[in-house]
Amino acid sequence: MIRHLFKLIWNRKRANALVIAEIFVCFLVLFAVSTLSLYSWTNYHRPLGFAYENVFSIDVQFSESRPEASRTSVSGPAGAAPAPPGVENPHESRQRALLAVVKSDPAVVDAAWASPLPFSHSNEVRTFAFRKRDLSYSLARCTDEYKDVMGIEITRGRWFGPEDDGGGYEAVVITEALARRAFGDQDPIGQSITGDRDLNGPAEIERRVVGVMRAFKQEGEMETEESYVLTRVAFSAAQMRRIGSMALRMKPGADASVEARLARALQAAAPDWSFKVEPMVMGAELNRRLYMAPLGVGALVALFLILMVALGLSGVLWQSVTTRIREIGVRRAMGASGMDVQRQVIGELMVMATLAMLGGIAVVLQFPFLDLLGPVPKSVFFAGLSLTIVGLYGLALVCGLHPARLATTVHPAEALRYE
Amino acid sequence: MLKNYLKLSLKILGRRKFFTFVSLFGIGFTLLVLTLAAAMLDHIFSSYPPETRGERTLVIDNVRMQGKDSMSTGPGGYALFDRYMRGIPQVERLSILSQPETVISYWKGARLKSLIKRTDADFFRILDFEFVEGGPFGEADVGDGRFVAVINETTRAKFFGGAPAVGQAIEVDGQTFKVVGVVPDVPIFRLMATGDIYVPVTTAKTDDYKTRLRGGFHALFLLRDKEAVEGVQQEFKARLGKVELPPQFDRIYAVPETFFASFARLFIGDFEAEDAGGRMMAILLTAAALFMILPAVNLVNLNVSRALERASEIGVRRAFGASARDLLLQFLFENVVISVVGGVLALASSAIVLALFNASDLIPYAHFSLNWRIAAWGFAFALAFGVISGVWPAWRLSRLTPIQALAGGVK
Repeated sequence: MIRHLFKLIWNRKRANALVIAEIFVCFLVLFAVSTLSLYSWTNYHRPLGFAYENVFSIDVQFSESRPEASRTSVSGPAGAAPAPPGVENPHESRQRALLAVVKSDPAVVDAAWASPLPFSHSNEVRTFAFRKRDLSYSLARCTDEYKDVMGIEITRGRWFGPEDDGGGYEAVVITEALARRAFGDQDPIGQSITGDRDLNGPAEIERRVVGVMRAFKQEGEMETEESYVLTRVAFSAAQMRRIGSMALRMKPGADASVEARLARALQAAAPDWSFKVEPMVMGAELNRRLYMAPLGVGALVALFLILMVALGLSGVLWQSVTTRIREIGVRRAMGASGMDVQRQVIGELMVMATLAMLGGIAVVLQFPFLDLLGPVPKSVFFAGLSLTIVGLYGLALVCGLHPARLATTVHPAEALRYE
Repeated sequence: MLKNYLKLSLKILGRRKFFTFVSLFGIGFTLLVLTLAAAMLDHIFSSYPPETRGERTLVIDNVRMQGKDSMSTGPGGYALFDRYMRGIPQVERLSILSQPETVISYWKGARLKSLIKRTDADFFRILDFEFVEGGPFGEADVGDGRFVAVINETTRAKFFGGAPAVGQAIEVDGQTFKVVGVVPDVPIFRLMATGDIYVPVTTAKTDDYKTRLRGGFHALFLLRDKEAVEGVQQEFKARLGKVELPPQFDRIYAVPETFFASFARLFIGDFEAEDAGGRMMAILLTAAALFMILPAVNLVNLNVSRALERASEIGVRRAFGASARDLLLQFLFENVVISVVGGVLALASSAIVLALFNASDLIPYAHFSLNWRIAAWGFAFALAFGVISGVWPAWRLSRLTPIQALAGGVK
């Protein structure tokens, strides 16, 4: 049966080659759409790692007119002027005082300095050799209160605190995903996540893992980066002045009047700095729109493309049934039932779809082989592939159904009289 | 001759409704997407008011400083333009303007979010704002650091409910400004001109910006005439060589150019590219061609499968001496005609989609519209699509021998 179908397809190879080409291109489009949407869907359902309701963010712009604050380097480490250990610069004292100002507001539960904040669209990515492999993660710096402000869930070890003062290391909390990537099955607690020592470069301060958190998707539900590190910063540290934002856990019901009150209090305490208070839900909402709008537009375009292909394929098949009306007439006259004819039309289409898909699969399999998947996990890739195969067979079936039914209505006597 | 072809192809359009619908749906949809993309890009990068002197205006959007271990890319700094770039011979005016920055006002119990742009008096001379009310601030206002502001219509509506605003005070980010003028809204993607509130650069809370080479500022150059572009770019490059860089950097890149070229430079990531705009255009056109593949294959398929319909016609024409080339041209022409019909449908529906998009307020102040430039792009896309999807079926049809054709086509 199948061999016979192949023969029939080969007999009309020119027209069929075009149909196969079309299904092939359609396969690629469908594959891209299904893999991307599957990826977004699984990504959306990973835990967020923090709670942003009832949190205000405050963006602070420092003035840097004081001479020791030369801050030009973006990628270089620790651009700030070094302060003697344990001694605070006036800048840091001001930061400490401002934290006290916001904490004294009755609507504020707790507050921390941290940067970059969730939904801030800025990040610091570190890429380095770690145990002779490449490792990269996004990093944020924060003071000790950040855990309670953001409601971060610790799954192993502990959150950092004053006990980490003066230990000669930087205490960090990392996400579970990063712990897996960096340490595999080993216990990450107490390990160092500093890059391999570069003999030519300056000695880097040790980053010691004191705890593991569930997750931290900085830009919200659609964030793709899973490797995230929170680094402890004390007010005496030179890094403190690089932190230009605060996060505030508010009592429920804090509204614009509270925002205005906070902004005024801060402005009064530091007239030459600028403050921008905003509920974090606004940033979350904006991000949701930013990520969803292109996805929605892409999905809509893909949907129309597939609808177009479906209509086109139906048209082509319909046309081919009318062309082959004599052939069908002969088959009917020789005793084939309408069902047999229908099966033949659909069968041919399925064989062609299979051929096209084999080509398509050969192409897309290059992605995992050449390591071009990017952040998309292999499981999602193969799930997307299976979804595409099922979807395309379904599409072919839908396209073939009407023309096939048309073929069954051919009356042998009429068909043979044709022309 | 062409008139005959045209008649014929319109006749065929009316012949089989289902196939005509499928073809037109595919063509129309494809061209709709491309026309919409062209319309949006046109609104982002072409000249629209208040940027009416587009061909004489050059911008510097981003600057890159590079050293051995560090690199810093982003908007330029005030000092770079103010200290080093004033008085380039062919430049009539230079305006230094800040990136639009979000600021918050608490106004009668509500929270208002605005974009503020800190700039100078020449900003209003290079750009051609049609003031709804009042006028721009001038050199004296900027020089003395007076707290005056030009606001857009939406901001006027938010603060004053649309009542006249000139002479009134607004409070923004803890500072109080007196409104001196009201201008129409500028879409948010017109990076140079957009803003809700325009204030003198000297009203910034600190003077930090005056010493920085990178961060926060763009520059607009109005040339004396549009032929001077290369001269200005060369002079600019020469002056960059004299900039005193911070120790960790040894080179600085920036080119005054069109906004499109400057965007392309950032997109490609190559700050030394000779023709970034051209490369960007090539990338965009390739993307458009890739997008056309599936619809084109679809249409080719449909056309080839309909060969039979035309068989007797082809047979007769061949028998009467028409060459294969004549037929090829005829069928190609027919396909182009149907594509252009699809293109017209696409243009009409894109007007509707753009209107819906404007109403949705997804992009603040966007007022996308159609114009002859976009229509020309739509026509070009329709021609390209017609040729791409028409060549193969036309070739197939034209190769039928008269006998085959008269006997009812080929397998």
